[in-house]
Amino acid sequence: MSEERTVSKAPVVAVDDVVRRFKRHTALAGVSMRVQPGRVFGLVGENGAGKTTLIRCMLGLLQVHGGRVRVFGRDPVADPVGVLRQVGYVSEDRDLPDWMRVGELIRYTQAFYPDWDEDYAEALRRQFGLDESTRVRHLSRGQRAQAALLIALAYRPALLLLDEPSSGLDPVVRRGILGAIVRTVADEGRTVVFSSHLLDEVERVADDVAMMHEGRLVLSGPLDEVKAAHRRVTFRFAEAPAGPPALAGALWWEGAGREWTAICDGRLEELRASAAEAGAEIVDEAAASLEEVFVARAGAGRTDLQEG
Amino acid sequence: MGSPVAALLWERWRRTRWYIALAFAVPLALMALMAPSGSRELGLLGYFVTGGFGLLVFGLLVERYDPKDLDDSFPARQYRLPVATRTLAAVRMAYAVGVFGLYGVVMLGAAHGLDLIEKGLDVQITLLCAAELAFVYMQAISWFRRYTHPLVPALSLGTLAILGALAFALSARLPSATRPALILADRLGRVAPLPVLAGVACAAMAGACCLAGMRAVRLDRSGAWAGSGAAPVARPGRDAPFASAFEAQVWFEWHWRGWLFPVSALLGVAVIVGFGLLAQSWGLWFDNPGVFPNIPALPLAVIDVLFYALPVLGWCAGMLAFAARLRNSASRAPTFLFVRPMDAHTLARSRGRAAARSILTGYGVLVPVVALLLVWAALQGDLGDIAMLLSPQTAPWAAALLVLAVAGASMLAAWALWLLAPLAFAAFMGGLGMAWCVALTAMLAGSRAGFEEPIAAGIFLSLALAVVAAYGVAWRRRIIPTRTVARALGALPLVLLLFAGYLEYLTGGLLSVHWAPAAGLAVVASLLVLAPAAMIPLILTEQRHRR
Repeated sequence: MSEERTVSKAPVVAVDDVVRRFKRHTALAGVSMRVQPGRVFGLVGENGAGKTTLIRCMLGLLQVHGGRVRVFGRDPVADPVGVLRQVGYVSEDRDLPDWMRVGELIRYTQAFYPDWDEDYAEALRRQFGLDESTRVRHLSRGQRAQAALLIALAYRPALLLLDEPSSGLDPVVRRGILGAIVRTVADEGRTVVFSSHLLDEVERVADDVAMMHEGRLVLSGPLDEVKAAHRRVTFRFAEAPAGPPALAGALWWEGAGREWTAICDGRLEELRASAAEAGAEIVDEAAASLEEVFVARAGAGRTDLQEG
Repeated sequence: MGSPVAALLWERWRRTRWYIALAFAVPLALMALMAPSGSRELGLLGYFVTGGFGLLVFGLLVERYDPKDLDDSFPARQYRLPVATRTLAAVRMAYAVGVFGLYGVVMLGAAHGLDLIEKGLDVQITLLCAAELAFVYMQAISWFRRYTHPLVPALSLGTLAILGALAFALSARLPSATRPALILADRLGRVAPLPVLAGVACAAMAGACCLAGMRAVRLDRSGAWAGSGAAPVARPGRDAPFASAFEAQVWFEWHWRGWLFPVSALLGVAVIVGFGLLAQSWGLWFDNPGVFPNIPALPLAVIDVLFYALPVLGWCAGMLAFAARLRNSASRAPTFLFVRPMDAHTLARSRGRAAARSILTGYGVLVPVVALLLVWAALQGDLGDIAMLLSPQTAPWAAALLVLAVAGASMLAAWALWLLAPLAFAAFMGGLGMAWCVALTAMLAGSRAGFEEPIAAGIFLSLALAVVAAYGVAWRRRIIPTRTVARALGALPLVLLLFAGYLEYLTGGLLSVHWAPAAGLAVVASLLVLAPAAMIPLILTEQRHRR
């Protein structure tokens, strides 16, 4: 089954021009993106950018007010059972019933998935150190996240949706979830979509990245291409500019006095030429970090690399 | 640790010391308090001493306890020790018997020393011997993993025979002693004093139990019973997987909210019955025929109040469920449900099943209590007053109670809808309020004050508006389809007809049968229940895919 999915070119998730409002607030304003099979897709953005809303639209928990969402080619609102059977979901707030014991939670969830792998579930339970007789309400934050992940993984879903999986977790647990679990899932040919506002962890595990800002997608593409396309260039001007210089090819400026650093969006030669004209010399040039790219893109609001 | 025996004893002491300390401390403390004041609260002391025995039985016999599993068999972990089986068994048995016997002797001695036992020390000694035998028997039996072993019935019969004979002989001391008991006591008395006989017989039987227990441990250690008896029965959800998603969801609904109604029914019944008992013993107004001549005798009055309580219980349970829903909404528990691959019909069916189980369990609490109250009334010779509750000829009580019963049933139906969806409950509120207010009207009719008609008309009008408003809101929010609204509105002419008949009755017209309007209301209430129930899957779909 996973082999078939790997070979297939059809996107696992297709989001086309989706609009979603909450009363007067527009949470998603024409978002479009594709998630290809077998990839780890990182959805980044600040709090309130619309990441959770987009994931809930993928799950069919929210109806869209415009556009279209398809998961495995199906409408998650019209066919929730067909979609959810193939999806594992971990929500940001780990919404688990507090009154259940861990063992009960596992057995309850098992009943809904014919492909439930008991051995795998038990291995995960042991790996996470979860006691079957412990009530969910008595689990720590990290253990709660692990319990949620366990019941989302144990039936080996073709698509794993993780909404802020590392929120509130210590670095050890965070690395355990993202580093080990997510990569393992992807290496098995399955697809992972996860949202985060921690850009370093996205940079560490994602194959593709989409950046959201105020309900819009400001950038989307393979992580390598995104990083290759953006450079951080530091200039020294002959005379200190009054404010951020206006040079072609620069997305975002930071600095003071004579030295200013620009994030370049790929038009590096153009930026160099315009800097030379302005009497500036390059004193440093390096690859931009994802965080710098995000800050620059969110500030510029541009979507140059956005796909389809 | 000097020897294996000392180590084994130390381990037993570490495991049981708190049980022993508590068992000894409480009764001795009580005796210490009673001694200087000369108080003789023997009943209270007896409770604590008995409680101490119970605590010791539990602490000494039960090896491991958790809510899923109570293990009183011989601990298999000790089989790994390089100690002979007879030593293992003997140490454990001797320790338990010694502690148990010491407790009895200390309690008996202290009570005797403080002059708390005025007479019958021989009876106390006999009882102590019997208790010791019973304890040794339980200890030995608990080590048999298979009760089909021939030693088990042999021990059981022997122990029962001795304990039965002692009880029979002791009954000769009672004022109501039977002739055979007197004869037996006389013949035993010629042989030896009863405590001596009891001691000998119990010691002999206890010895047999000890030997049998050792045999059981030997068999257990040799693996003769491997894999038998120890495994508890697996229950779906708790120990074993569910057979289906539907079964899992029914389990979820019951554990989430379904238990609320039975528990509130239990609490409500306890309060009402308790109040009834207090009313009787304290002579409260509630049981004073001079003040309330229409109230029947006490047991029946409690039943009467239970009828009133049904709607209250349903309402309280509904509110509790609502509170639980609010509490869970903070963690978005419904999202946890709605991301499961389960269609709305399965969810609705499972909630319906849980609601039905909840209501039946609630009735399972109420019905036996009502039955016991009826028996109580019969024993008091008050059963004739039941006509006050059930006969339609005793207006206005009968009519009021019948309508209240309808209202109670409606409340239970409402509880079911609470489980299904809050909006369905809102849609039902009109019909529910109707039943209530008609009950009020019926009670007002008893006053014959002449203002029934305008009140009833006003109530009817407001209720009709409430029904229309509830359905209108649901329809506007596209929660119920137009055809459902049409069906609900179709029931209104029936309501009008029934109320017309009811007003006729009030004014002494054609329909002078009390139960007719109430029965009609039951039909209407049923219709009002069924209409929203049909739309439950739609409501759940609406909740799942928020607009």
